[in-house]
Amino acid sequence: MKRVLLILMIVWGGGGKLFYEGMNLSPENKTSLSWGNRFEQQLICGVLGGWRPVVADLAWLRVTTSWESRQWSRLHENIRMAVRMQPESLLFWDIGAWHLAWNASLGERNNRLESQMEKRHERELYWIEQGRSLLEEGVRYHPNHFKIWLQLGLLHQERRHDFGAAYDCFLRASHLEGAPGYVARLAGYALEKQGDRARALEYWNDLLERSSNPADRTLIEKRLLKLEKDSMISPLKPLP
Amino acid sequence: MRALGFRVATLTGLIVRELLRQNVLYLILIPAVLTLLTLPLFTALTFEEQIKFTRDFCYGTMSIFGVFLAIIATAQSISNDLEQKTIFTILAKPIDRWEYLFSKGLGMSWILFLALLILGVLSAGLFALQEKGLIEAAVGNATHPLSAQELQGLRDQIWNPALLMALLILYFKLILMVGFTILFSTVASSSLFTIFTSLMIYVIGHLQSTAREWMMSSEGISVGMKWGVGFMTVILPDMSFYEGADRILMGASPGLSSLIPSFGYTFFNLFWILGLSTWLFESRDFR
Repeated sequence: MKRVLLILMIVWGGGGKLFYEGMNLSPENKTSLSWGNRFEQQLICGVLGGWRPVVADLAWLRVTTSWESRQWSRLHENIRMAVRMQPESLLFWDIGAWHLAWNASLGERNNRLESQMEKRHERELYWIEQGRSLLEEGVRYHPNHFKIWLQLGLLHQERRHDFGAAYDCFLRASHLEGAPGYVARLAGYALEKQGDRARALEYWNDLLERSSNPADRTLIEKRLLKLEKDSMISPLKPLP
Repeated sequence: MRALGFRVATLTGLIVRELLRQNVLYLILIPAVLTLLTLPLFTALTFEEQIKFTRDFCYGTMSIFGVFLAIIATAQSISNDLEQKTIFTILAKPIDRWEYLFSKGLGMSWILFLALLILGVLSAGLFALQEKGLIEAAVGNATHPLSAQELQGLRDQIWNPALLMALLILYFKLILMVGFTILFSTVASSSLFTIFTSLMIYVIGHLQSTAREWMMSSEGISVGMKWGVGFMTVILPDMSFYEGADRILMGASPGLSSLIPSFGYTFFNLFWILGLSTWLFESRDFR
């Protein structure tokens, strides 16, 4: 009798365990990461346990010191370490990319120790690409978070002058939960900067129809008026 | 039923007292407290970074020392009973073996609750110590005078009530590890074996969900491999059920219902673990 009870306990408890694990396999729990990346993440979790975020934070502390001492390669290494240890942290992706594509690249541009402008420019572009690569990895971890898409859009717009890519990123960010109204407007500005007046007009009109916030509507209407006024003077030209 | 409750309560009380006398409890708890006290040394951070670091550091300390406490103290406790022959005195009384194992788990849960309470209160104290400095720094760095609402927003970032839920999720995780340690203790002859096996289970448990998904979605895997991963899935715990705590540490404030998966998963696991442990313990011959 006792054995039967024990078997029932094992079967019922084990069944419950497997039922919960089956629920955990639902599509919304899946990410777009490769198996290798996922195994790596889980292994780090297991080995470091609760210290994983702390190790990431300590690497991040070194990011700040590397930035202050303008050691860009070390800065890059520490950013990589921090995001590898704790990819869930948006802060690391967001600020990490800003360090690379803005601070490191501008640091190289203004590097007086390098006399050849070509080399400076080459290094500047290198760090911009590192920042882009970091954010592109970040969006694979956080495909549904507007902040990373927004940052990627800004990087394309401000550092790479690729307004088409910037528009795509802003548009994607604007459709995600929690995105403030200005993100959708950034997509419109990117189209304007690209020189695509027809699409920009169409986009602004579309946004005006969709927008319910009075403050947003006022800004969009102002923009539309300006665009229409400008188009009477001269055709839009893409920014250099 | 009342007699059973009385027996379990008495045994649990005795086990808690015995655990409180164990050196291992203090050997783990004191370093944990000392580690937490080093937190004020890390201050060269921005407001957001400092809050994140404080949370991560306090939670990390509780998590890592909690896991060690759950595994080592449980393994030592059962192994001591066997080595010192206390088990004969206990089982000579009208106490079933499952009652003994259940009481061990219950006693250990109390100890873990106490340990988390001590570390939690200490962490709250450290948060309170940092609050004033953090707010002052945020006000100093702000480009405009902060309104009362904005100041409250900063305070809410520091004192996120969901952090208590993260602690509760950690508690469930630790109780699950107590369960697994008891399971290994029923067959192991040395506490060292139990400790290492339980630690291995803890590490591998983090890989379980990914391995399971890989097995379910990949094609062209050999039958042997599928069976291997399938067996691992049935036996091993899936630690991804406790990842909700990480999201809370990142600043999320989920509802109480988000505790259901970690609670339900722990509950069902403890059920089969108790059944299997009792089975194995019943078939063990003490000499």
